[in-house]
Amino acid sequence: MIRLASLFWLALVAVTGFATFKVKYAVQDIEDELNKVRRHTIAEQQEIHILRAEWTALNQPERLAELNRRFLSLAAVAPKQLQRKIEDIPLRPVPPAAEPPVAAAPEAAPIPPPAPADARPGPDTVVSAAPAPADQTNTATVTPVVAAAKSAVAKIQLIASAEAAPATPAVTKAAPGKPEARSQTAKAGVARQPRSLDRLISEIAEGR
Amino acid sequence: MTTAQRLDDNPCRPRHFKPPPPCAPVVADERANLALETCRTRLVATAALFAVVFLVVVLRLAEVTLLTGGGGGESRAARLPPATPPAPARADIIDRNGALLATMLPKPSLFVNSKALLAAGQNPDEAAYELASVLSDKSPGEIRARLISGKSFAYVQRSLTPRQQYAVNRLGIPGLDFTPEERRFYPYGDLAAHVVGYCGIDNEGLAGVERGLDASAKGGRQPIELSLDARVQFILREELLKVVRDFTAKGAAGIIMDVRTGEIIAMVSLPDFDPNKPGDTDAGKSPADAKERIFNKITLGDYEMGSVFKIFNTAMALDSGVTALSKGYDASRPIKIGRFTIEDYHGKHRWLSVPEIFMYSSNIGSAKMAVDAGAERQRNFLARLGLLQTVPVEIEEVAKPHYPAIWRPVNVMTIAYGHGIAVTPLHVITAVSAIVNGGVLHPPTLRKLPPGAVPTGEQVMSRKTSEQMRKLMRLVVEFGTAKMAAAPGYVVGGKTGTAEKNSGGRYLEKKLLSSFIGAFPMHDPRYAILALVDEPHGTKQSFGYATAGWTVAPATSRIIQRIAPILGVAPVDEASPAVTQALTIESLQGKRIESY
Repeated sequence: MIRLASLFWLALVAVTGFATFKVKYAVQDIEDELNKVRRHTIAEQQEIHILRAEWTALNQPERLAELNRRFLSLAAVAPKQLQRKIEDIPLRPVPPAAEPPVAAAPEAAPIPPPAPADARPGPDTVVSAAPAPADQTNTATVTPVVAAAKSAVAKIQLIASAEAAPATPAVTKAAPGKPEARSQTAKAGVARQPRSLDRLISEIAEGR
Repeated sequence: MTTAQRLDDNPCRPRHFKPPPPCAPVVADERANLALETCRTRLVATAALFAVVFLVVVLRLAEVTLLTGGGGGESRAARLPPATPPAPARADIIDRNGALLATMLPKPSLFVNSKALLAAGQNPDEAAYELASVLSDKSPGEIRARLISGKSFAYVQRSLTPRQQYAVNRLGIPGLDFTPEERRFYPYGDLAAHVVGYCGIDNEGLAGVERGLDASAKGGRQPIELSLDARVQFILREELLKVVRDFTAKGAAGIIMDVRTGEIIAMVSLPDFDPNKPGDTDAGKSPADAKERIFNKITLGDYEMGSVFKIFNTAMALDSGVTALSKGYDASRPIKIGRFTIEDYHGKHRWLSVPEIFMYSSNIGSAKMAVDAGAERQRNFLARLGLLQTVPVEIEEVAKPHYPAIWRPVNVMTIAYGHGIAVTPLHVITAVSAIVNGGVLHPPTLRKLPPGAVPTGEQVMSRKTSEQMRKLMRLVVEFGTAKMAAAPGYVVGGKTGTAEKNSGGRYLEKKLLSSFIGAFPMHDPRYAILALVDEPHGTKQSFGYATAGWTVAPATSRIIQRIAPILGVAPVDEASPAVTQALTIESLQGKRIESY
């Protein structure tokens, strides 16, 4: 019994001693490293200081003016160029009459308020990302808002089944890329949109 | 006995164990008892001593490990080198945008341990010759004298460049070594030489801010922020250099001040010098030339400013209520007083209203105005504007103004148009800033104020007078002598002054001091600008004129057009009602203003 206790204490002493020395040397190493890093820091800071002085010397206004004369020939800003306030700048001339589909788009797709909120990129909207384009390819592309909204529908449908899906940006994929494609197929979408949108809104409302 | 019996009975008793022999009966031996007693006491004492020592050790251990958490940590950390480089011998000086104007750079000095060099058997002639090829500005003879001096420490050359240090090391001459030294370096060279000043070889401030703020420069690593804007400084210097060149003048000077705070944005005095090597001159120039370069005309030059003083004279007369913008004086005939005759340079020879006197710069009218107000008022007003004492500013090179000890009537008259009193350009711009900013005098400063901070100044005249003076100064640029100072969009106002230089009591007709003091934008002044040129000569372009209107006024216009965008002054439509309403003089409305 006594021997066991002695052994225990002996072992403890040995372990403690070993650990102490190990820590001591580890600390010494770290200190050496710290020393080195600090010396480097100082050297770097002094270097930066010298470079800053050199940079300033290179930026002497006289030298810059000379360089400007040689390479850029920029003139000083004339008061005439500064005279206008933001209100004084005329608006860009209105472009010629907009294409009909673009004009049709607003009336066709009143933006459902909750949809954009839900379509924000995040872990759950991501779920919809993959299926959404597949869902829409056969029904022809619709305006981005609708697409986003549809993706939200898909999300509601899929949210239970696929909780952990690989993260890919949702919104970029959900929005159909080319405006030309949209303008071509917008009319087809117009007919179907109201129904799906209403459903969407109600579904989102229920889903909450 | 009982013990032995018990041992015998014990079944576990080892076989070899023999019971001890029965004890001898204890004899009461006195001596033995005494010895035993002593032993025991000693033992107890020793044990107690040890116990105490151990207790101390234990307590200290407990304290160190449990209570203070080591205790030795600080000393260990203190032994480590610091993480920041040692503070420079002098703090950096930066402009208001943080551009370095002065900093410390390592510049080792080369010294020789002559004993070691000679002991190493080095041929001093050879070494001197080699060193001279590396150190460009020392002759072999000079270096040789140092090498064979026999001293254990003698400088061979101070302030080596890194390249020179490398070259010296490559020579491998024994007995040479470097002292780590820092030298002041001015990256912008002569750009702000007079403001920043310069340092001696031991990094003591000798001029400018370096001297004026020597204590805080030596103090620490926090850079000294000046109110100067290096870009504006450059533009001012460039345009003044152009004036000096165009009119083959002796020199020029200029200063730009923020009228709301008294901050000096730019200060140039030409000719100037390179603070990296002050005292150096161009080849073939005398030491007098170096002295001339180091002379700061803005703070040290006492000048009779001439007509520029009519600003103060008119403000004095208006503020004291002696006259009004609607009143006037007869300026048809010269005034004769004693041996003086006061005449007008471009006389109109008729009755002139106060705005006209100011606009056409009539000496006669101004003198009469001053006589009306009287010596007492004039003196007090000039004193209030700080024109009769040295200007309080951060640099020490400031001159005392010169003015008559006794204010005689003739002095009153000449001072009205800026003769018989000599002040520095810094005086003038400080006072004019107060006149245009609503009558608040701010002492000029070279230190940057925090943005938005407006120092409390001293109200030296009524706001109404200030407003009237702004109108008058605008009038001079619109119709008067300073038409060439106009900068479209920036509503410049000001006053020209062309004074003959006084030398030994005589005025020299051919030696002029032409100056322009102005402010912009005049309906709400932000900056005041003063430009003067020393002894300009007329050119073909100026039709032979060397007056302020032809020399510094056009330069001022160019300067303002270039610096206003940098200083954030937006151009306005000068014909807009907001501007014209602020600057029209009611008494002149509807009258045809005769152009100068």
